[in-house]
Amino acid sequence: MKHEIKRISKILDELITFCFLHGTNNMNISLENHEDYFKIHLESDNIDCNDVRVQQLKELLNYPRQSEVEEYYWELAGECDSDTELTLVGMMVDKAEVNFDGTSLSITLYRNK
Amino acid sequence: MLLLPISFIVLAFILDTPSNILKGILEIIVSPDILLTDYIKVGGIGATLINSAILTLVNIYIIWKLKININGPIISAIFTIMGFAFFGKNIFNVWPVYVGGYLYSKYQKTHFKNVMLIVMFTTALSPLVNELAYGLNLPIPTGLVLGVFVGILVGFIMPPLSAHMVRVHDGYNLYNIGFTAGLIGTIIMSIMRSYGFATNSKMILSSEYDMFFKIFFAIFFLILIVLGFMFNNKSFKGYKRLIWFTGRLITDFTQLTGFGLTLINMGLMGLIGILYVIITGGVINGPVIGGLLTLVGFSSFGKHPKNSIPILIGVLIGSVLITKEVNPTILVITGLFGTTIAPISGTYGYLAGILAGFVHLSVVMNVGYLHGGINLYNNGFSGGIVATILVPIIDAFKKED
Repeated sequence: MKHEIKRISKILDELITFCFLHGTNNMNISLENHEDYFKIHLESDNIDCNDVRVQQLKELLNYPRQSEVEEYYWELAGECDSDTELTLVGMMVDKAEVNFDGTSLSITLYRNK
Repeated sequence: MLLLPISFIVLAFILDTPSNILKGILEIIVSPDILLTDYIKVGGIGATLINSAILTLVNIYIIWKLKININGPIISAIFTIMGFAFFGKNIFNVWPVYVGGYLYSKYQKTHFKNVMLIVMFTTALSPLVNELAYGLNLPIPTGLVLGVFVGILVGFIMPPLSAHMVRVHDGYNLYNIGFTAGLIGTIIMSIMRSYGFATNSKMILSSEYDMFFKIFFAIFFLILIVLGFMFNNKSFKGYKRLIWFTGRLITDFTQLTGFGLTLINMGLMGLIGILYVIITGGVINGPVIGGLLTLVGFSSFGKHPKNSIPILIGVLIGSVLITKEVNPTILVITGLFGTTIAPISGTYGYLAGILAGFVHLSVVMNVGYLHGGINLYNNGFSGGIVATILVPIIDAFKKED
């Protein structure tokens, strides 16, 4: 896909913004570029689990990949500092694993090439 | 999705004769389509309904063939095409845009499916094809070739352009391609005017089917509500959550709240749209049907009563205070289409929404000249300008959390 690197960067931007908006003090991010897919892994502490968006995280990130929506709206990801585009991120990835351990959050996203 | 186009076909043959329908379709095809050209007036009721039904069914077929999921943006695109097939999109002038989009996908070695959504909305610039073919007094073969070529060119450049433009207003203008098409239309029209070609805005409007369509669409919107109620386990539960969303791009109600509540919202917004037409004293004609169906379509993708009514109030206040005389149809469609900036009230509150609607009315009446009426989504163009300017200003007054 065109601008693939930028699209990955914007997914990361969106995740970082989301964690900042929900109370994180510490984030660790890793990105792996495999032959067939990208793997993005993020760990964050101190997440406000009472927030409705945090509770919906798993559902939002697990929307089916929708390339026609992505092609039109991908540049919106990571553009706003007061709102999040997690639905869009969900449509840009093929698989999402979301785990909570107390207030710690771990997200792993897979995006096929 | 099939209910409306199929009922259009049945209605066409009840209200009109096959020979009239055929004659009307030919008249629609060879008519320059710049704003505002009501196909009901140009080609008759039967031809207009058939034109809308064919365009809608062909698009649904392409979507099905490409295995694209039916979601909020796709519902919005289908309803937008169905509505604008009453005043500007026809079975001749939209296809060059599709060819352009297809060529772009081949050039970029990507699947056509990926650009289909953008291409569907890009038909906003379809009147350009007719205008170049029949509206500039060029020899018809030359005009046709030029029109088709420019249509293909527009379809080719729109995918990257529209994706980029969404950042300008940060998703606060739902008709993003209207904004993009307005800018492209401005450039094309500027070039045309530089070489002595000019378009004249039109006001070809019908009024004879006002009551018929009020009843017909009221019934259809009620059916949507009933269907939604059934799908949502015979309840309206969850609707409060739906109106909690700001509506800013991208807010896909089909995924966030489910199909049942989405249908309820679509039906309810349609009824609010009809009520708005009645309050403003307007009549339902081609452009107003376009406004109603677009409003309903985008009620699966961002619009709901809480974020849209403030815009309608803002437009109404503007129409009372404005010194310039506003054509009733212009006032009606400005309100209906003006809900493109509903995310402003969804995010910043109803006062911001009223202000946005108020400003939008003045802007929309002035930007049409820039693109000479070749951009059907004139309100999307205006909404993009209003959102781009207004949102950072409103944000400047918001206190840091």
